[in-house]
Amino acid sequence: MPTRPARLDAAVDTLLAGQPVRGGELADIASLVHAALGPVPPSSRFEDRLRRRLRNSPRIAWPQLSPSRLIAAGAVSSAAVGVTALAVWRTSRRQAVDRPWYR
Amino acid sequence: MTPQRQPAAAPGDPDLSAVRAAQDDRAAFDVLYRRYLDRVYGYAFYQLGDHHDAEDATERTFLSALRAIGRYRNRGSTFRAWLFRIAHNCVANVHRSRTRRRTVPMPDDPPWSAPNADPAGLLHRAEEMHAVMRAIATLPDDRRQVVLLRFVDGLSTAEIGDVLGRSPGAVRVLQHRALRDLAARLGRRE
Repeated sequence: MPTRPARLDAAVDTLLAGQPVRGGELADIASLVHAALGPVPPSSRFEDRLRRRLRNSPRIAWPQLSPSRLIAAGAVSSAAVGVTALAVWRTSRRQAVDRPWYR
Repeated sequence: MTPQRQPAAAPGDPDLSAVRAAQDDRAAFDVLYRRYLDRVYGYAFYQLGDHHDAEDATERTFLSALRAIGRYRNRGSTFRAWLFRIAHNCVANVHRSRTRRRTVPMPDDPPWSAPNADPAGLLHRAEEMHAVMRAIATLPDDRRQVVLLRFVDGLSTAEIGDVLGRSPGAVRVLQHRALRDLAARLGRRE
Protein backbone atom coordinates (compact mmCIF):
# COMPACT_ATOMS: atom_id res chain seq x y z
CA MET A 1 0.00 0.00 0.00
CA PRO A 2 1.67 3.25 -1.09
CA THR A 3 2.03 5.97 1.49
CA ARG A 4 0.28 9.33 1.14
CA PRO A 5 3.48 11.10 0.01
CA ALA A 6 4.02 8.36 -2.60
CA ARG A 7 0.42 8.66 -3.87
CA LEU A 8 0.73 12.42 -4.05
CA ASP A 9 4.04 12.07 -5.90
CA ALA A 10 2.38 9.83 -8.48
CA ALA A 11 -0.35 12.47 -8.91
CA VAL A 12 2.29 15.16 -9.45
CA ASP A 13 3.99 12.94 -12.05
CA THR A 14 0.67 12.73 -13.90
CA LEU A 15 0.22 16.49 -13.65
CA LEU A 16 3.72 17.21 -14.98
CA ALA A 17 3.05 14.85 -17.87
CA GLY A 18 0.24 17.22 -18.88
CA GLN A 19 -2.69 15.12 -17.75
CA PRO A 20 -5.45 16.17 -15.36
CA VAL A 21 -5.26 14.81 -11.84
CA ARG A 22 -7.96 13.80 -9.44
CA GLY A 23 -7.56 12.77 -5.89
CA GLY A 24 -8.03 15.25 -3.13
CA GLU A 25 -7.22 18.73 -2.04
CA LEU A 26 -3.45 18.37 -2.25
CA ALA A 27 -3.66 17.29 -5.89
CA ASP A 28 -5.70 20.48 -6.53
CA ILE A 29 -3.05 22.52 -4.75
CA ALA A 30 -0.41 20.82 -6.90
CA SER A 31 -2.37 21.92 -10.01
CA LEU A 32 -2.49 25.50 -8.71
CA VAL A 33 1.26 25.50 -7.99
CA HIS A 34 1.95 24.08 -11.44
CA ALA A 35 -0.11 26.86 -13.02
CA ALA A 36 1.47 29.59 -10.89
CA LEU A 37 5.06 28.55 -11.53
CA GLY A 38 5.02 29.22 -15.24
CA PRO A 39 8.13 29.16 -17.42
CA VAL A 40 10.31 32.27 -17.22
CA PRO A 41 12.42 32.51 -20.37
CA PRO A 42 15.52 34.69 -20.19
CA SER A 43 15.96 37.64 -22.53
CA SER A 44 17.37 36.80 -25.95
CA ARG A 45 20.15 39.33 -25.37
CA PHE A 46 21.30 37.44 -22.26
CA GLU A 47 20.96 34.12 -24.07
CA ASP A 48 23.19 35.28 -26.95
CA ARG A 49 25.74 36.90 -24.62
CA LEU A 50 26.12 33.76 -22.51
CA ARG A 51 26.35 31.57 -25.60
CA ARG A 52 29.25 33.71 -26.86
CA ARG A 53 30.96 33.50 -23.46
CA LEU A 54 30.63 29.73 -23.44
CA ARG A 55 32.10 29.47 -26.94
CA ASN A 56 34.99 31.77 -26.10
CA SER A 57 35.81 30.59 -22.60
CA PRO A 58 39.38 29.26 -22.41
CA ARG A 59 39.80 25.59 -22.96
CA ILE A 60 40.98 23.62 -19.95
CA ALA A 61 42.85 20.40 -20.41
CA TRP A 62 40.62 18.04 -18.46
CA PRO A 63 43.34 15.45 -17.65
CA GLN A 64 45.29 18.17 -15.87
CA LEU A 65 42.42 18.57 -13.45
CA SER A 66 42.16 14.92 -12.44
CA PRO A 67 42.90 14.33 -8.74
CA SER A 68 45.65 11.75 -9.36
CA ARG A 69 47.56 14.15 -11.62
CA LEU A 70 47.19 16.94 -9.09
CA ILE A 71 48.54 14.70 -6.30
CA ALA A 72 51.48 13.56 -8.46
CA ALA A 73 52.29 17.15 -9.43
CA GLY A 74 52.12 18.19 -5.76
CA ALA A 75 54.44 15.34 -4.70
CA VAL A 76 57.01 16.17 -7.39
CA SER A 77 57.07 19.86 -6.51
CA SER A 78 57.32 19.08 -2.77
CA ALA A 79 60.27 16.76 -3.44
CA ALA A 80 61.93 19.45 -5.55
CA VAL A 81 61.54 21.99 -2.75
CA GLY A 82 62.99 19.47 -0.25
CA VAL A 83 66.02 18.69 -2.42
CA THR A 84 66.70 22.40 -2.95
CA ALA A 85 66.42 23.11 0.78
CA LEU A 86 68.83 20.25 1.57
CA ALA A 87 71.35 21.48 -1.00
CA VAL A 88 71.21 25.01 0.38
CA TRP A 89 71.63 23.72 3.92
CA ARG A 90 74.61 21.51 3.07
CA THR A 91 76.31 24.26 1.09
CA SER A 92 75.94 26.77 3.89
CA ARG A 93 77.17 24.18 6.44
CA ARG A 94 80.23 23.36 4.36
CA GLN A 95 81.06 27.03 3.98
CA ALA A 96 80.72 27.48 7.73
CA VAL A 97 83.13 24.56 8.38
CA ASP A 98 85.68 25.78 5.80
CA ARG A 99 85.62 29.37 7.09
CA PRO A 100 88.51 30.13 9.54
CA TRP A 101 87.18 30.74 13.06
CA TYR A 102 89.02 34.07 13.50
CA ARG A 103 87.39 35.87 10.53
CA MET B 1 13.32 29.36 -27.46
CA THR B 2 10.15 27.67 -26.29
CA PRO B 3 10.16 26.85 -22.60
CA GLN B 4 9.47 23.21 -22.00
CA ARG B 5 8.71 21.16 -18.99
CA GLN B 6 9.41 17.52 -18.75
CA PRO B 7 7.85 14.93 -16.52
CA ALA B 8 9.84 12.76 -14.20
CA ALA B 9 12.99 11.33 -15.73
CA ALA B 10 12.68 8.15 -17.66
CA PRO B 11 14.96 5.30 -16.64
CA GLY B 12 18.44 6.02 -17.97
CA ASP B 13 19.78 9.40 -18.84
CA PRO B 14 18.35 10.97 -22.01
CA ASP B 15 21.20 13.48 -22.10
CA LEU B 16 24.02 10.96 -22.06
CA SER B 17 24.85 11.06 -25.80
CA ALA B 18 24.85 14.88 -25.78
CA VAL B 19 27.10 14.86 -22.72
CA ARG B 20 29.56 12.48 -24.40
CA ALA B 21 29.61 14.67 -27.48
CA ALA B 22 30.30 17.74 -25.32
CA GLN B 23 33.14 15.90 -23.57
CA ASP B 24 34.79 15.30 -26.94
CA ASP B 25 33.98 18.64 -28.53
CA ARG B 26 33.13 21.69 -26.49
CA ALA B 27 31.06 23.14 -29.34
CA ALA B 28 28.59 20.32 -28.72
CA PHE B 29 27.87 21.77 -25.28
CA ASP B 30 25.56 24.16 -27.10
CA VAL B 31 22.96 21.37 -27.35
CA LEU B 32 22.85 21.05 -23.55
CA TYR B 33 22.87 24.81 -23.17
CA ARG B 34 19.81 25.21 -25.40
CA ARG B 35 18.07 22.30 -23.71
CA TYR B 36 18.49 23.56 -20.17
CA LEU B 37 18.86 27.33 -20.32
CA ASP B 38 15.18 28.11 -19.70
CA ARG B 39 14.85 25.69 -16.83
CA VAL B 40 18.03 26.73 -15.06
CA TYR B 41 17.04 30.35 -15.53
CA GLY B 42 13.50 29.71 -14.25
CA TYR B 43 14.84 27.92 -11.19
CA ALA B 44 17.24 30.81 -10.46
CA PHE B 45 14.54 33.41 -11.05
CA TYR B 46 12.04 31.82 -8.69
CA GLN B 47 14.75 31.30 -6.08
CA LEU B 48 16.23 34.78 -6.23
CA GLY B 49 13.22 36.86 -7.24
CA ASP B 50 15.16 39.08 -9.60
CA HIS B 51 16.06 38.88 -13.29
CA HIS B 52 19.53 40.36 -12.81
CA ASP B 53 20.43 37.87 -10.07
CA ALA B 54 18.91 35.03 -12.09
CA GLU B 55 21.14 35.93 -15.05
CA ASP B 56 24.17 36.00 -12.74
CA ALA B 57 23.39 32.56 -11.28
CA THR B 58 22.56 31.08 -14.70
CA GLU B 59 25.83 32.34 -16.16
CA ARG B 60 27.84 30.91 -13.26
CA THR B 61 26.00 27.59 -13.61
CA PHE B 62 26.74 27.07 -17.29
CA LEU B 63 30.33 28.28 -17.08
CA SER B 64 30.96 25.88 -14.17
CA ALA B 65 29.22 23.05 -16.01
CA LEU B 66 31.32 23.65 -19.13
CA ARG B 67 34.52 23.61 -17.07
CA ALA B 68 33.53 20.43 -15.25
CA ILE B 69 31.80 18.42 -17.96
CA GLY B 70 34.98 16.54 -18.84
CA ARG B 71 34.89 15.03 -15.36
CA TYR B 72 31.18 14.18 -15.42
CA ARG B 73 30.55 10.48 -14.96
CA ASN B 74 27.18 8.79 -15.10
CA ARG B 75 27.02 7.24 -11.65
CA GLY B 76 23.39 6.21 -11.41
CA SER B 77 22.10 9.75 -11.58
CA THR B 78 21.23 11.96 -14.52
CA PHE B 79 23.02 14.86 -16.17
CA ARG B 80 20.23 17.24 -15.29
CA ALA B 81 20.47 16.30 -11.59
CA TRP B 82 24.21 17.08 -11.84
CA LEU B 83 23.49 20.37 -13.62
CA PHE B 84 20.89 21.42 -11.08
CA ARG B 85 23.26 20.58 -8.24
CA ILE B 86 25.63 23.14 -9.77
CA ALA B 87 22.72 25.58 -10.22
CA HIS B 88 21.67 25.03 -6.60
CA ASN B 89 25.19 25.95 -5.40
CA CYS B 90 25.44 28.95 -7.74
CA VAL B 91 22.06 30.26 -6.59
CA ALA B 92 23.18 29.89 -2.97
CA ASN B 93 26.39 31.82 -3.74
CA VAL B 94 24.51 34.64 -5.47
CA HIS B 95 22.02 34.70 -2.62
CA ARG B 96 24.83 35.01 -0.08
CA SER B 97 26.60 37.73 -2.05
CA ARG B 98 23.45 39.85 -2.28
CA THR B 99 21.67 41.10 0.79
CA ARG B 100 18.33 41.78 -0.81
CA ARG B 101 15.30 40.40 0.94
CA ARG B 102 13.41 37.61 -0.68
CA THR B 103 10.62 38.90 -2.90
CA VAL B 104 7.68 37.17 -4.47
CA PRO B 105 8.82 36.68 -8.06
CA MET B 106 6.25 36.91 -10.80
CA PRO B 107 6.92 36.27 -14.49
CA ASP B 108 6.65 39.37 -16.69
CA ASP B 109 4.18 37.57 -18.91
CA PRO B 110 2.28 35.20 -16.62
CA PRO B 111 1.18 32.06 -18.45
CA TRP B 112 -2.26 32.07 -16.87
CA SER B 113 -3.16 35.50 -18.30
CA ALA B 114 -3.18 34.70 -22.02
CA PRO B 115 -6.17 32.47 -22.67
CA ASN B 116 -8.65 34.24 -20.41
CA ALA B 117 -10.19 37.27 -22.04
CA ASP B 118 -12.72 38.02 -19.30
CA PRO B 119 -11.25 40.88 -17.19
CA ALA B 120 -13.04 39.87 -13.96
CA GLY B 121 -11.97 36.26 -14.37
CA LEU B 122 -8.47 37.37 -15.25
CA LEU B 123 -8.23 39.52 -12.13
CA HIS B 124 -9.49 36.70 -9.93
CA ARG B 125 -7.02 34.29 -11.49
CA ALA B 126 -4.14 36.74 -11.08
CA GLU B 127 -5.01 37.27 -7.40
CA GLU B 128 -5.18 33.53 -6.86
CA MET B 129 -1.78 33.04 -8.49
CA HIS B 130 -0.27 35.88 -6.47
CA ALA B 131 -1.59 34.23 -3.31
CA VAL B 132 0.02 30.93 -4.36
CA MET B 133 3.34 32.68 -5.05
CA ARG B 134 3.26 34.48 -1.71
CA ALA B 135 2.53 31.19 0.05
CA ILE B 136 5.43 29.47 -1.75
CA ALA B 137 7.78 32.30 -0.76
CA THR B 138 6.97 31.73 2.93
CA LEU B 139 7.65 27.98 2.88
CA PRO B 140 10.67 26.71 4.81
CA ASP B 141 13.73 26.64 2.59
CA ASP B 142 13.95 22.87 2.02
CA ARG B 143 10.25 22.59 1.12
CA ARG B 144 10.45 25.58 -1.24
CA GLN B 145 13.47 24.04 -2.95
CA VAL B 146 11.58 20.81 -3.53
CA VAL B 147 8.53 22.63 -4.92
CA LEU B 148 10.63 24.68 -7.35
CA LEU B 149 12.77 21.80 -8.57
CA ARG B 150 9.69 19.63 -9.00
CA PHE B 151 7.23 22.08 -10.56
CA VAL B 152 9.48 24.54 -12.40
CA ASP B 153 12.12 22.12 -13.61
CA GLY B 154 10.20 18.86 -13.69
CA LEU B 155 12.85 16.89 -11.82
CA SER B 156 11.88 13.54 -10.35
CA THR B 157 12.07 13.00 -6.61
CA ALA B 158 15.18 10.85 -7.12
CA GLU B 159 16.89 13.67 -9.06
CA ILE B 160 15.88 16.23 -6.44
CA GLY B 161 17.35 13.88 -3.85
CA ASP B 162 20.65 14.01 -5.77
CA VAL B 163 20.55 17.80 -5.91
CA LEU B 164 19.73 18.30 -2.24
CA GLY B 165 21.57 15.30 -0.81
CA ARG B 166 18.44 13.53 0.43
CA SER B 167 16.78 10.21 -0.25
CA PRO B 168 13.86 10.07 -2.72
CA GLY B 169 11.56 9.10 0.16
CA ALA B 170 12.61 12.16 2.16
CA VAL B 171 11.95 14.35 -0.90
CA ARG B 172 8.46 12.85 -1.30
CA VAL B 173 7.74 13.62 2.35
CA LEU B 174 9.00 17.20 1.92
CA GLN B 175 6.82 17.60 -1.17
CA HIS B 176 3.79 16.31 0.74
CA ARG B 177 4.47 18.66 3.65
CA ALA B 178 5.03 21.60 1.31
CA LEU B 179 1.71 21.08 -0.46
CA ARG B 180 -0.04 20.55 2.89
CA ASP B 181 1.48 23.84 4.15
CA LEU B 182 0.36 25.60 1.00
CA ALA B 183 -3.17 24.23 1.41
CA ALA B 184 -3.26 25.59 4.96
CA ARG B 185 -1.86 28.97 3.93
CA LEU B 186 -4.36 29.27 1.10
CA GLY B 187 -7.19 28.46 3.51
CA ARG B 188 -7.95 25.03 2.14
CA ARG B 189 -8.30 21.81 4.00
CA GLU B 190 -6.53 18.61 3.10
